[in-house]
Amino acid sequence: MNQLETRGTEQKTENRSASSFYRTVWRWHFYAGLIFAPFLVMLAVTGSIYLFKPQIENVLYQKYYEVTPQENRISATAQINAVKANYPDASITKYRPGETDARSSEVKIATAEASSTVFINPYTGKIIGELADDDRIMNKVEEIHGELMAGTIGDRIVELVACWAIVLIVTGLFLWFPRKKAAGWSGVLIPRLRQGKKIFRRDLHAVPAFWITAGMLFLILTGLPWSGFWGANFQSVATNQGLGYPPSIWGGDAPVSAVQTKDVAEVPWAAETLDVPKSNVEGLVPASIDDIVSIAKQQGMDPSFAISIPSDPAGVYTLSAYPAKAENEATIHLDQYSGAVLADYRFANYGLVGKIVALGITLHKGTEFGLINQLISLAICLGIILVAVSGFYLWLKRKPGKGMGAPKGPPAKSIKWFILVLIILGVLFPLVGLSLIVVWLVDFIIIRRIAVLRRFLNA
Amino acid sequence: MRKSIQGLLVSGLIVTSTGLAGCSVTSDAAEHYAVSAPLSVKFEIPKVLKADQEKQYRFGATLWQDQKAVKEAEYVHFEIWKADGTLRYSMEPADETKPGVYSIEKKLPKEGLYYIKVHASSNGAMIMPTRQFIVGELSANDLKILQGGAKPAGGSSGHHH
Repeated sequence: MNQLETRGTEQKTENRSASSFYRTVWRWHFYAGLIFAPFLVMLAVTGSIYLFKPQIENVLYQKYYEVTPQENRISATAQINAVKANYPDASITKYRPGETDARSSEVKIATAEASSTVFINPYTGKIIGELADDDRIMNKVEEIHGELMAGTIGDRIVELVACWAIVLIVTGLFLWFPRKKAAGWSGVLIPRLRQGKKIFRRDLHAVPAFWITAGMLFLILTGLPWSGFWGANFQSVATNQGLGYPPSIWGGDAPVSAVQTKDVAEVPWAAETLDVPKSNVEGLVPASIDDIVSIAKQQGMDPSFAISIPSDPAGVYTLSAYPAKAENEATIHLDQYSGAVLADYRFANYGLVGKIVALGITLHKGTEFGLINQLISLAICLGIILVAVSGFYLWLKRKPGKGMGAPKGPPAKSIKWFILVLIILGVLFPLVGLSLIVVWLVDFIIIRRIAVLRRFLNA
Repeated sequence: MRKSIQGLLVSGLIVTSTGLAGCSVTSDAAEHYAVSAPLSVKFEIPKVLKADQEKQYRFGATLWQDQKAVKEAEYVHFEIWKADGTLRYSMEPADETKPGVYSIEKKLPKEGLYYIKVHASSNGAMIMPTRQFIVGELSANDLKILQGGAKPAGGSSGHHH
């Protein structure tokens, strides 16, 4: 064998291994795409709607929100008493004074069955109306977006979709990356319009996909921290390390009011006589909601703040505000009796990871930079829909009559780098890992043993 | 080769997915973040069995912060009122009679349900606890107020500084 021949053979093996690697990536991209594209479209559609929640709710609930400002407001206590009188069986869980003079105040009430918001005119004390949580359209949209309206299982599916979307991005980028040098920008950054339908169809998927990659990855990474499994664990680890949100904002407990039960005034229940010793009646009484409102103002809470009302003797009043910009967020826990600040958690007190996550959330929701933010996010959502649909179309057109049309899977040893990437993704996102195990088991136990399936899936 | 890679993949993934599950926020996590030093107050309230028109009673409040009595607080003001609104001593500064102990003297000429509220501030922290106490016997009206769960009517909100 002369030198030239040797070189030729080496070249061939290299080509074959490179192309088998390419086929593997393609195969994974193909199956992951087919399975997860419908979910991605659903997330993009609901996300596009939810982005405009502030505007949509302002229109829908204008009659509840708007009040005509007058000279004097009535006290928060009087407003809450008005709600108590109208809903004697409900417990009062939250009070929100309203961020402007022209905004109604809100009292959140809960019964065993449901919770709702009662809107009050803070100048007259009149109840404007009641809105059940279950009747809020945006709550439904959020439920679909976050958990497919299927509770915990839905939450895990959405998380799995988000994680697999990362797999799609990584494999997609590899497939998109130009293999020939000096091929120019056509078919890479600009779609080729005049080179036949086949090429146009491919470019209609691959080129826009590249353009939205960064935005899509951003939405996935900023959305993942709210997910129930990966997100909850990630946040707990960050909080425990002093890097995340302080406890009680996401996970963990709020502090408790530091009083002993014997110091708290007991409320006698009998109608006519004092049924508890007088000394038990003598004791601390909870701070009035008016005191809490004035403390909130002294603490410089964002005007959109709400007050969570304690439900037991050791509970705390919690002031919280989640305005459009993450920097203005605050959660302050107040002693139920003295109004003392037990914990003051503002954006500045978050750990670095907590700050990034908080900023990610407001960017993800499109509130951080207002309309521009919403429009950019909308463009990414529309791009995701386009890419999912064009990818599906690409498969439909290329698919042979029989079979799925997936490229054939090569033996594992020629794709060890790919497996390494999968392992890394599987470790970072355990749900991906778990689903990989399922895929492998299904492949090993079922598909490899049934000839028809094997042919159909080209395994 | 193939088998060993797959075996590695599977076992690695099982370990990480079970290892990550069930991680929760520890109870001491708050120590890593901004820790507040809240004020607290211990009331001293005279036991009065019968209303007296002339006698002055001493009301005290010991102020605490970080398990130390707070001397020379920025302000400590008291207000006292009767639940039915028939008697009211508006907010007034208390004297520091002992280090960390602030007091005022007041007459209690009527029997019934009373409230005392302390407004105090020191080192940027602020509190305004209210305590319920009884002089002599409760009236039927007082009982109604207690059973209605009514919040102390007439306590002034916040602080005017």
